[in-house]
Amino acid sequence: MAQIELSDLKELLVENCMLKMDVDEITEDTPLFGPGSVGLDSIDALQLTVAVEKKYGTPITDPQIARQVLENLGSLKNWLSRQLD
Amino acid sequence: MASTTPRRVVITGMGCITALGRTAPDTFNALIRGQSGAAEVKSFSTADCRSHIGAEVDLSEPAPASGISGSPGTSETRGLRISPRRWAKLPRASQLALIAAGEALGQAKLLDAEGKCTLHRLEISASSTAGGMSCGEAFLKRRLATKESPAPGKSRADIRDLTGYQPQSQIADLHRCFGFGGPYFIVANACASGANAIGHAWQLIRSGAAEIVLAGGFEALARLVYTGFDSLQSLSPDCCRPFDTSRNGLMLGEGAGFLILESEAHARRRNATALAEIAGYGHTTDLGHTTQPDRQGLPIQLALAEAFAATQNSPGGAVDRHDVIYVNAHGTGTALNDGPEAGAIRTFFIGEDAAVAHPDASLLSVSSTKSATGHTLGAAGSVEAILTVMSLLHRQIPPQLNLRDAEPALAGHFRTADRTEAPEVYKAAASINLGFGGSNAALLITRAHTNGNGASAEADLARPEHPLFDFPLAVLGMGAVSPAGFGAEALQNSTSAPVPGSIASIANAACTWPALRVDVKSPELQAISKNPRLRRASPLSLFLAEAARQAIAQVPAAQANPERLGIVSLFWTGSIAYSRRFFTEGHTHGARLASPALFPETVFNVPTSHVASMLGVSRWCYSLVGDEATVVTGLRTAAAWLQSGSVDYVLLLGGEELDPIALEAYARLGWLSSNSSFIPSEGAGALLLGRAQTTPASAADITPPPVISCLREGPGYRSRCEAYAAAAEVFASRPDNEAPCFVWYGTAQHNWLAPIETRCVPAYGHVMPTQPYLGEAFTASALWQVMRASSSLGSTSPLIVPFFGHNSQISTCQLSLNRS
Repeated sequence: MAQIELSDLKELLVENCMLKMDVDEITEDTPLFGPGSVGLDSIDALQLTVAVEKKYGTPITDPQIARQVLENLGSLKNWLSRQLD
Repeated sequence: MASTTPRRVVITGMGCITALGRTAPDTFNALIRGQSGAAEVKSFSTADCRSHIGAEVDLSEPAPASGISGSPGTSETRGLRISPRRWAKLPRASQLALIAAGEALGQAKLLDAEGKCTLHRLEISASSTAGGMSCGEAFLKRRLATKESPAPGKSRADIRDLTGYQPQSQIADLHRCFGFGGPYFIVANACASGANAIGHAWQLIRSGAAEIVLAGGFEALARLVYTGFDSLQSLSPDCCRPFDTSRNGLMLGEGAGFLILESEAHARRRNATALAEIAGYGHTTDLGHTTQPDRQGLPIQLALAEAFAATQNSPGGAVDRHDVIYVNAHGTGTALNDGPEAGAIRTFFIGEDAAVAHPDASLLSVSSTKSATGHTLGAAGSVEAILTVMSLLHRQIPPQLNLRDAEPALAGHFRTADRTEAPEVYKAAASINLGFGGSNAALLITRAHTNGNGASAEADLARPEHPLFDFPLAVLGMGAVSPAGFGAEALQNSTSAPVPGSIASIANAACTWPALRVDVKSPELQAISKNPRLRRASPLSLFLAEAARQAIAQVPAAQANPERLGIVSLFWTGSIAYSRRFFTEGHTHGARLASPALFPETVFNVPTSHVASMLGVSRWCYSLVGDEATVVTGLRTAAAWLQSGSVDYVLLLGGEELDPIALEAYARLGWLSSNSSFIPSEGAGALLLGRAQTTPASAADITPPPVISCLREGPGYRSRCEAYAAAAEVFASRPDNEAPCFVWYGTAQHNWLAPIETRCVPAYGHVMPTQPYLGEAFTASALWQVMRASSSLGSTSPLIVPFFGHNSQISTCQLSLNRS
């Protein structure tokens, strides 16, 4: 399994979504969307899709899959690891 | 002061060009036949985009000297008189605007045998979202392709592109081609702008601030904008299906639509035929999200309600919502727009409850004409208003193209191309437009009545030909973000000029230019950027929000009643940093990898919408494009709103941000040459305005607020000689000939305006120069100038503040501490 560092994903998230919060508050399980989450919206979802493709060369084309992959950083990490194997 | 009895506003000319046709009748006939302008985009490559379709106008035909703006032989739509060589050099946006405006002027019988406007002065209320963007793109591409840093010299191609890319250049082309001048207003409220341009003209005429206005919008398809919508995955890959349950996106289009609006009395005086009447107009701001409309469509209903309410005291008579037979919907064909809009139209016109239930709901027809014309963005509101008038005139309902399974809320209310005839009772129609930044606009159009209110018509006839609209404004709060620091006090207290930093060239880091910057990492801006709405905000949005926060904090009554507050923002470039970054990403990595998070923030009115959201301003919000002189246009807009009674306070904002590409442009224009005093600057200014009290404050311990009055917008000029004449006109019309002028020396010293500023102004009064120089930040500088002038006010003597705009306009206002 390809090794994806959580810190890299945090960096990608903070940079692309221009988050003003402390990155230490975000864990693998923190939801990205919806109540009690980081507070992302549909534009962030599109932005993250583009950022992941740009950095890892892995396009997420199906919106349904994107929803599952971008649930939290843990789901993104697992998906990326599988894609890069 | 203008009368409080509103006047009737009629349409006496219309012109429109879209992918469906080069005239309003051609477009409408094609629409009724069920044709669509959809095709593969040809004017730029979409190879790296997800979508490839659009509705482009074929402008490849020969120059319009042969009479392209109308069907041959019709006297109403004479051709444009312009040489083929000059035509070929015009930006696409100018070509579209000229054709549509020419048709409108012709139909209103305002063109002479030479194709020139018979009026020397004709006010323009226009809209666009991107102006001549293709010119800006050409400049950017050349800069990205070259490794050399631009020498502070001049290149003919660069100058053509840099002077053609802003929407102000389309206004200049209209002035030049048809030989008229006058004030202009360019609203960039995203996709609602076209309706706002008409609505603003309606407000000016209705209140007596204008007699006749050329109103409309223009938009040329541009790669940056196409890429932007593609990055948001808003474009349909195959077919635009408004109100269909299987809709999968919008189709971009291009075009222009212009109307001649005038007071009914003015039209009668010159024997012009009234085609229809603008009976009402409403505008609201959706505070929920930058790009997603409210799920219940509530702001649409509120805009419609405001348009209908305006007819209650109108001399044309009240219009009932059941009178409306056709609604030209915004209907983009995106998943998020059409559902809420269908629900809002149903609730508003058909009614969920008995109180507003439509007696014969089957009479109501709805369509979005965007499946045929494409979404023409800044032109959409004007093009669609014209199609709505055509529908009313010809008693035909535009069919809904590409519809199979209609949104349930409006099922049964769409027409097909074989069933377009309207019922006999058809006397009113509505047009709805929505845009990014939460803009919602509604226009209500009725047949032109022949039996008006006699008394008001007589009063109208007694009015002077050019009424001088004067409504004094009190400056109740001020805010500033400038290189001198935060707050209006920083502008006044600093005694020495800030030391310029530098910005490096994109092509060559060793080449730098001086620039006065605002620190984005400062605690003040860091604090404001914590507002959730400002998470993705550009520096421009942060400057604007902080200046607005300071101004409103000084007026608790305005802060506590945001529903009684309106916002007018002014911009010269908008968010140029985000625009350059977004374009560069698409250019370098391909459109698919351009950042969707950046694109909405590049839209002119999005910074304004962030401020609106922050303060809770859910009604009147306009973003105007212009220069220093546009401050007076903004003040006049504020005065019109306050006079109408719809708001009690107006926040006037102006903001600019710097970016290397702006510096590259100024270098190419020769503004950064070694003998120039021009130093680019950035920041924002804010004025919280209210109605000036008519009685002076009696308590001696209360300092009266500064009052702004006597707003004068110059006619614009194209030569030094015309500039002297323009200056003479605005200065000669001031009420107090002895009042000293308050000039911010250096605003124009870098270019050919310099002799006008330095020689002309002293000729009209004593000059009070201001120091220190805070650089040139266009609209922001102009607001700083007002703030500095107000701090120099004596208790008796008023001051004249002139504004020398980079788009060749001169305007002035008067500042005093009391109304006398």
